[in-house]
Amino acid sequence: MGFWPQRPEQVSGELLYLTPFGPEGVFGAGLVPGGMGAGAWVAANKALYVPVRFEHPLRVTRLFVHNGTPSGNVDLGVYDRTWRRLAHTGSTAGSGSSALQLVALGAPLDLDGELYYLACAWDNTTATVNRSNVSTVAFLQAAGCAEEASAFPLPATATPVAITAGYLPNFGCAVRQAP
Amino acid sequence: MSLWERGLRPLPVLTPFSVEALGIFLIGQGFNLSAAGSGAYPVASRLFLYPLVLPRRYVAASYWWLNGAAVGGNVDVAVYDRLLNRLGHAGSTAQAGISALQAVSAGSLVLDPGLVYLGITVDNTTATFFRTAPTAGGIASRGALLLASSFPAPSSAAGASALTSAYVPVFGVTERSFL
Repeated sequence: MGFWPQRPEQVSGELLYLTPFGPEGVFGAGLVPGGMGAGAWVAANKALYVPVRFEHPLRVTRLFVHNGTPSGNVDLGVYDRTWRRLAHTGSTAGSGSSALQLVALGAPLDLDGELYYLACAWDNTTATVNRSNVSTVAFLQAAGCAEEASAFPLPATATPVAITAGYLPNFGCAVRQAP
Repeated sequence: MSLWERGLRPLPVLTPFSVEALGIFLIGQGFNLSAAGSGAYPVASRLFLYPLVLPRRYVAASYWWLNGAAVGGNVDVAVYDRLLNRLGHAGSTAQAGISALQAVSAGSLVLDPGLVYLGITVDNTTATFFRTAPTAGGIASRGALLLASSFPAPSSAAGASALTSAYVPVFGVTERSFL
């Protein structure tokens, strides 16, 4: 049984967008979050981490966030399961209302069947992001989500704690099948 | 190649709602994690066992569960192998904290790839947990079991039979030091 709609040879060379909302993320924990809408970022300089794993080797070329009304700066990143940062965009000015804001990584990042954490941090609470408002925060804990205060820009090594915000942002990575 | 064939690493927190367990079935039935609400434990000292197929070795750091709107008595959470031998358990633990996650150390409980069962038993019916209530026969058809008169979780659950209670609580194990 596979989660992906196509076999790897069928997606080779094609661009895909993967988010925590998919089977790679909280859906894989049995969590089906509610509808998505714009909401102010949870706290200035706070990072949210969402676990993901991918069924096929992938090459990440860009990360993205689904803006509501952007403001200030965002940092998007990928961590391994030991909380070591593998890549991040660095502080990037938010731009593009109600749009996917794609930010290129300095170098492609190859991922395999391991567990990773996608990370998103904003340096202010004026920015709004399309997110699902999860009323019972414990469900996000049960899905493996976490957070970290004072984490902008994203640190080289994360020191996360239990998530306290019922906030699941729509962000993720743009990938191609790894060669 | 499938998730299991590839040995995809599980998400950090595992529950009966995980796709490695009953997740896809529960999502399909409309009883995903975010549909869980508080409900009393159905029968005192009844051990519920939910199958979980681990694609990879997993080291559990804690057992945990999500209390509901009332707490009472004692809880035990356990993991069993495919032959229903207990691999580890929390031991009888007083339920505490309304609508709160409770966790008990599992040391470093090593779970090898393959079929295991997540088990929970409670010594009373005052205790409530966040749970969903899909049709008992449906869960049983996916391999869920029960064993009566089993508190705390016994060293063997070999006499278990098909589950007859419409009850899937939010509980499980985590490999992390926090939830």
